[in-house]
Amino acid sequence: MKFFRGDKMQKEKLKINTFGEIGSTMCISTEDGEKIFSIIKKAFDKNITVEISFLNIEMITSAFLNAAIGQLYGKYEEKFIQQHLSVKDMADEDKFLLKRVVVRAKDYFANKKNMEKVIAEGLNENA
Amino acid sequence: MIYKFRKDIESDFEGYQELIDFYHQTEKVFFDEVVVDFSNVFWFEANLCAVLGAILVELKSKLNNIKFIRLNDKIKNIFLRNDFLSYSSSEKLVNFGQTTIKYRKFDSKDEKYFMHYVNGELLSKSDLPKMTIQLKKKISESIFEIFVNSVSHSETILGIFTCGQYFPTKERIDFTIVDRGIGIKEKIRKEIGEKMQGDEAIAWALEERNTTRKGDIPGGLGLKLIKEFIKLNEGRIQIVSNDGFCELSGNEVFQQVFNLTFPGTLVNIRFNIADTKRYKMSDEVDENEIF
Repeated sequence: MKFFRGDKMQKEKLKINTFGEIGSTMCISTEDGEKIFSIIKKAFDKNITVEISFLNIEMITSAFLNAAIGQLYGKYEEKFIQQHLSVKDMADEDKFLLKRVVVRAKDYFANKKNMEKVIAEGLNENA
Repeated sequence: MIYKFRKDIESDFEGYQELIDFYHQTEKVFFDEVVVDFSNVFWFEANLCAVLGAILVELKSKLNNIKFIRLNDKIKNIFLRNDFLSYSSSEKLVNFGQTTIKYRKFDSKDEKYFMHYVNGELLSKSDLPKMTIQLKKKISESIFEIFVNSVSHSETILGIFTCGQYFPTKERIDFTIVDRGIGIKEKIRKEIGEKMQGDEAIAWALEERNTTRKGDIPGGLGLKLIKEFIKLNEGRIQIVSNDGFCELSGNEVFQQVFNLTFPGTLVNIRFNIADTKRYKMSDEVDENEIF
């Protein structure tokens, strides 16, 4: 993991080498996804832009992507993620999978928020 | 005690029923010798060793000694080839040919070992029937999705069991993963309070957006991806969980309820390895529009 400073016009950017971080060509487990998530989170909390490289990665599961990227939507606004996150060196079919994970994550957290709102309203009414 | 199987054990509703009956007939036995009599069994599908192993592990945890008797040569050969006999009744490991996918038991923290297993048994085996690289990748991804699903949802403490078999002339791979967790029906009841029949619970879990997850990590995609792939691949998926049975094959869906409960969840997938589709995505995804 390295910080690269671009020219004066560019923001500070963190480049994550997924292969280097998980030590495997296969992004399978939730646990490995959590490793990537915690790095992104550290950067996002300091308003640092992140680029994740999937160079040398041969296989990715939805479980890994849910943990690494999907759960970001529970912590950060969609707009913030759009402005601060990018991927590169990803195979077309993996990009397709990531897109589905992202759509699913937005839906999941929207439902979760609605559910929490309903429960909170129910509690207030009973108070 | 002596338990005698009544018939062949195949990947169908009756075959699973036979294994469930074996579980219930023996579950209370403690510190005994459990003799399993195969004299009525002419054929035992190799991949179902994962199911038998998942049942035997509990018998062993209750300090029972397991003994197989009257195995015909065919079955003994299958059990030797995929290492099942070495696990179950202390036979020496023998290195046979390449058409077996070994029987193995994993703990839920063994994801790395599982990756090595799939690598060794599926991805890097030299004498496998010819398959496109993309198909091999899709098959492996499906297997990983099921394993990770078992790890995250099943709450198993007795482990996860796998076994498979290549059928070069029939151009297919059968692969079975079993967990000894709480089962899909019970998980839904526990996490979201919905009471369903076992088969309905499986069908529910196979629908996109349905998940029992409530935490920080979203879910509800893994099983659906496999379902979509198996349909395209013209394969078959069977799931047995608690008292439910669900089989998807092409556009056909078959659901049934057992009269007794399976102690966990088993997923049995038949992959069609003659498939030469490119699995190209219908729409290119623009990197700038993912998030």
